[in-house]
Amino acid sequence: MASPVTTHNTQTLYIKFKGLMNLSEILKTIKSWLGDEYYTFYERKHNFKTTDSGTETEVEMEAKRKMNEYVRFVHKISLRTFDVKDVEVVKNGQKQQAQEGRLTVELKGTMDLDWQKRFKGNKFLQTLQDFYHKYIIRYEINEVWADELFRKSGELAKTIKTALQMEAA
Amino acid sequence: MPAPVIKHRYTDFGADKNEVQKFSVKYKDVFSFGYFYTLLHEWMVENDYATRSDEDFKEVFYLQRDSPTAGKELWVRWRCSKIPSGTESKLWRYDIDVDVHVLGMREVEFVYKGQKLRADKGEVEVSVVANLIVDYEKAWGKHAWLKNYKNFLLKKVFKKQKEFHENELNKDAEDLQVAIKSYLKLETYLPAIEQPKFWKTRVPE
Repeated sequence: MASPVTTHNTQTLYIKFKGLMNLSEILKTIKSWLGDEYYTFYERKHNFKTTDSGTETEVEMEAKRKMNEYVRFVHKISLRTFDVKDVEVVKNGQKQQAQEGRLTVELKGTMDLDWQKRFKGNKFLQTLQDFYHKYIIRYEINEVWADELFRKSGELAKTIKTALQMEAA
Repeated sequence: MPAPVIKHRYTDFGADKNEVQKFSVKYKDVFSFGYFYTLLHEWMVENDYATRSDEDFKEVFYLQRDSPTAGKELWVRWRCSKIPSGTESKLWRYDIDVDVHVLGMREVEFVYKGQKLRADKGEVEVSVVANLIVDYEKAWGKHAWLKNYKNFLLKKVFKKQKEFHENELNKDAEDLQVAIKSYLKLETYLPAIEQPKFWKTRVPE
């Protein structure tokens, strides 16, 4: 018997932006949103390099939240900026420093089932888990938690769009 | 004489090794490697992961390759650990593994605010892994009674304590990340650093 599926992924959301931005503010907005939603936040990767066309930054973040004793949400957020240059802009009649460049954001939502590995061990427990997933909590996984996870990903995407001052936020 | 058995230092720990935090910071521009190295060392000393004594400092590997065409390549590996203060049991140990890899490093001169300065230009990557080690002296594993109830005790009785130590280690790892990123002038998430740090940033101010 194949081992039961314990991870469910939602549709990956992408945001692409070109214009004036403040990367530091965007990162702080994401961190703050995740904090407000009770997620534990980890920054897994932070790459920075300068090129002839500007600077490039790559940030990979991971946020985890235990929804209950069996379900855990994991959001993986990747941000990449290209050709970023410092520019001076006039806002409300005042000169301000800003950054101009391109940004891509990738949001992946994953649901971890049995994150405490209670069913890990032997074949009997695995069969039991398979039965539990297929017949007992099937509706809860597909209709409740999967929807909730996608909704959270959407909310995060909206928060990022608002921080970028995009039109359709 | 039998051939020595080569194995990873965590092989025997199995489930007693809990990876709490893992991150990497990569930076390609001008910086001072000497200062950066000192900063990391000072952080280790300040946070009790090492002592001032260089002989005891756990720099397990240092490699430097000089090439006139490609610049310098460096590999630095530190395996620092700390026994949390205030705990009498020999149960918990915080391990922080730091791997620094520098590629194509060359010395450069530049003018900043009318001052001629010397620095290094290249790519530096710092990878950090923080592990919480349970029963680091394997005293429980050898004990006649405790070895059978170890898992039960850790999951039920010491659950809160384990979570506390995981959080503490996570905080330490995040603090190290902030220190690295503040020096390299990269974006950090804290609204303001809680107290002024003694180290400088990459740009002299």
